[in-house]
Amino acid sequence: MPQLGSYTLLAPVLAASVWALVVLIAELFSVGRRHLAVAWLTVVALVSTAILTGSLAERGVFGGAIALDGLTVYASVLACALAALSVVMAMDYLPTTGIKGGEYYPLILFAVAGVVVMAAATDLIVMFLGLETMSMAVYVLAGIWKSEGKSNEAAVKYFLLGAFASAFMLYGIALVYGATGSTVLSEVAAGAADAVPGPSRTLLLIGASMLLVGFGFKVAAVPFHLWTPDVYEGAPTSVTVFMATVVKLGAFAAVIRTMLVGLEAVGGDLWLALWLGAAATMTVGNFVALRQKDLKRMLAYSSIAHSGYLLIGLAAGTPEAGQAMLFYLAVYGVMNLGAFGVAMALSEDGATEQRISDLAGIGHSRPVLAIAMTICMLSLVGIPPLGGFLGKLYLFKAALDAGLTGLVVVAVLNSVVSAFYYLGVVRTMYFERGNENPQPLAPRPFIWAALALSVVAVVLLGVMPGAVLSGASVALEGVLLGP
Amino acid sequence: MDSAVLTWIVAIPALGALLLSVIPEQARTILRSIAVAVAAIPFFLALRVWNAFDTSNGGFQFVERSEWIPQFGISYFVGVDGISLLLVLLTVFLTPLVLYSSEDSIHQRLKGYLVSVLLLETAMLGTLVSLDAILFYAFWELMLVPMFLIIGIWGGQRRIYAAIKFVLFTMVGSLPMLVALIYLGFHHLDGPSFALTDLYGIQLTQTAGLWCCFAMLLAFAIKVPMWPLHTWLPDAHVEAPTGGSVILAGVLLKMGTYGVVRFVIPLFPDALPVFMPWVAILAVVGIVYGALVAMVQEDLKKLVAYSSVSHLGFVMLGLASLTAVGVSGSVYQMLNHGISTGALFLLVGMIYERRHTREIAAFGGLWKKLPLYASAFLIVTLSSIGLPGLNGFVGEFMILLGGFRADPVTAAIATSGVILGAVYMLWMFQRVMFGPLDKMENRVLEDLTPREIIVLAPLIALIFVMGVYPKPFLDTMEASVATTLTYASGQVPATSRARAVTSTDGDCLEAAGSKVAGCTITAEPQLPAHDGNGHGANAHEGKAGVGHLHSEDPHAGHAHEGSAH
Repeated sequence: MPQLGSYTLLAPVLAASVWALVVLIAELFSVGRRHLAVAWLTVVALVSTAILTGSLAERGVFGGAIALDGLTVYASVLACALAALSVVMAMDYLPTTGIKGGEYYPLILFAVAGVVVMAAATDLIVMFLGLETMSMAVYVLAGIWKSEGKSNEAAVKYFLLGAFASAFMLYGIALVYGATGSTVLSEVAAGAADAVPGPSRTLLLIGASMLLVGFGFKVAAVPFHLWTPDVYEGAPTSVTVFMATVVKLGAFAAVIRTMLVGLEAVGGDLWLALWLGAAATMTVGNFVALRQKDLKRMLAYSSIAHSGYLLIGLAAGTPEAGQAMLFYLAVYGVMNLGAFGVAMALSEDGATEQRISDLAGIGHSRPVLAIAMTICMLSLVGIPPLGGFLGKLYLFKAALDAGLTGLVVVAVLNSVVSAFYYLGVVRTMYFERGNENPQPLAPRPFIWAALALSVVAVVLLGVMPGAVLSGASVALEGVLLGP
Repeated sequence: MDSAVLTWIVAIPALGALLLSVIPEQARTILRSIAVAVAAIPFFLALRVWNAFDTSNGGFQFVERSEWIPQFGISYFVGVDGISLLLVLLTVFLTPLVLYSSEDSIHQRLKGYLVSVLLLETAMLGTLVSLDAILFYAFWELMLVPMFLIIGIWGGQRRIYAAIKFVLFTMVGSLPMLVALIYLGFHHLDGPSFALTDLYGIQLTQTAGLWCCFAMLLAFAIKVPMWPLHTWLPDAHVEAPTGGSVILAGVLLKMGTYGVVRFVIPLFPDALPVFMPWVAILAVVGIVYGALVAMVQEDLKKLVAYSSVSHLGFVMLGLASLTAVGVSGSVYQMLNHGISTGALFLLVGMIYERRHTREIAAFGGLWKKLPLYASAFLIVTLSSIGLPGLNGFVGEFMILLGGFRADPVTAAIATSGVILGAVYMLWMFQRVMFGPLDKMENRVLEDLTPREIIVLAPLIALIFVMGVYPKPFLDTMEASVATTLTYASGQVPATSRARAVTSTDGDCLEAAGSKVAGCTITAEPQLPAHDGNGHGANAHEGKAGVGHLHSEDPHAGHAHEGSAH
């Protein structure tokens, strides 16, 4: 047994988990309006975890399983920031839905703790534990709206398919263990590098493919995406945005550590699968999104398409591509927070259904929300100088450098297709006549504040991306894989 | 303001838009006055720039450069040469007129319209002055959004269809261009750089050069638009409000031809011989096709829209000739087209506001009732035809001259376009203005209002000035056209030029190996007019404006200030 190492290395995981317990207990003593206090405590928890994680200078691996390195820090800080914004939005949104469950906030924190573990795990089993921690919390969150049938349906679907995916992943881990004799990434990597073509090599490839399938479910990659639209539509919007941003971030952080860096040696053999997966994911996502009438379903398919863009980085398989993915995850997170935030700000009764046509005329009647939505949509298309543009630029550059010119062309054509439905939203808002004098919305200061932050972040990530860009590039310097 | 005059020119309209957005919608007169006043500032600033512009210098002047995203080699890098300066002048000249004329054509949501037009002005000016490929692309895409809104909100019956079509056509073209730009920027030898001065002279493999050239030509050909990619244009023009049409025809289409001058011609000397003959052929097809289709139009605005296809065909023909006279003619014709077609759209808009129809058949004999309007229309029509003494003649003549040098056959066919142009324009004029005043509705029409005269007068004055005395305009662009064509011929040792312009003194001193080589090449005497002060420059920069080019040089700004006064 190697030495455990300093407990400081566990700080991000510990902070998130302890805060989750604290908030859970605090929630027990809150009644009525004091839900808001619990929510604020959650924000404090997330912000303090982010600050603590960001300030840690020590680097190393705890007990051979949990790494504190640039990737952990980047992913944890980003996850906390995105989760905090989603919580602030939920403060205004949840009351409109009538969701009473105070367990909402501790569950968010447990999920974040799971994400941190996923990002930090250098052992496949620990990574799996993180994944399960996160998933369990999100299953409950998806179904937290007990009076709404669609929410229940979403939770069941997500749970069943998620369990299915977990099984794939676990089997993949077992096969990888069989091929290399270890679940610690550094040893797996060494075994993978040594493996000569033969049965054990084949076993490793199958294992790695199974792992990819498992991740594919979590990031909604085609053909494992079928749960996404139903779950995104059925879950309360504040949970949907959490799933679309934080959960995806956790899965991709784990993918980057395990596949991109750890199993680099097999990446070459799987490149065709990754290439096809990326191309199929963005193409299916974009084309199906074209036909959506419901805003949340459209955004669900758009998030599938963006997973496809992110998979380009995985197909490229270079460290630079990993950096591009990390940067894109940040941009993608704030863009989606903005888009879903507008959806939340506009929902009258928190109804799960929100038709795109309901946005008609808000360009005139609610100009500020319409501008926020327009900025997010343009950024999702990838129009400069917004964050979405720079994110794509970075990904495409990495892919071009890795020689994936064909995939970049596919992605560019996909961007054109995506312009149809993203601009369709803009068109509806500005060109179609809606209710000219709508009821004034109840004041929702928290959503507006979080929305403003998100939109500003979308713009800043495009105009002054320096800090996040260098964060993303530092994150992949010296990624730790084991003791 | 002089130290960053281009930045101010670009930013002022956007700042004005911000200012307008806090003024209440009801204050229509105040809104419009402020918008016009704001748009006038860049006009005067641009005139100052023109005044201080060194016409003997074919390089970029009034350069400003600062790092933006150093990781990707993206910088905020702006400057003008003779070509872009003239188009900047056209933009800042047309926009206030459009804003001023909005009173007649925009009846609802005036504030949003003014804000959109001002934002569009910023985007257009930014596109013209950008010397960084990504900055260029950012402004290029930014142009879409306000135009999308202008067509989609204030347009005619089928406005939404037209707006979407406009955006999607342009975007389909511009994304491959983005890939090409990324490829160029990241395949630059000294690490990533998107600065045009670095990209000029980039060494590409044959295949890469062909593909990048094709991608960029495609993007620009859609914007121009060249036959057979022109189908978005008639829709966009017909549906857009008058002001939108004026800007669309006057400036936006020029972005395509400008892109060819700025990017395609200097960047891909090896691919030009492959593509330019095809461009010439498509241009000629566009000239004849546009003219023939214009001839049979029943709708005045559609007629003018198709005439644009024909006129822009001429511009592309001149560019494809790759001769100094042809390219100069094209640049000149860009200005002419902006002025005369802009004026035509304004005139069509004025009659539409009176009669609420644009059917040619609905008019007839207007001269008797509207003598002022008809005279203005006649002058603009003749300018559009290319009557000697008016501006259109100079440009078309030069283009055909250049075209004949490149390929007599295509040029000969193109000449028929001049004749056809006269046919459809004069026929239209005859049907609208002459004949009996037999329609009841036309008998009560009022002649031009003072506001309309104010809008039209500067345009008509320019039509005469540019026809009789084109020298100042041609002088402004001459050196820049020559420089551009030097790149196209591949005569300047490409890499040395690219490095020379951007490498700072420090680079030369501290760098080892290749960079030192890059610096020394420029110091060799085979570049005749080289200034020899270690900055490096190309043969056409001459003496005076060298400081402008070297933005890294901390004294560059002062050097410019000196010459600006």
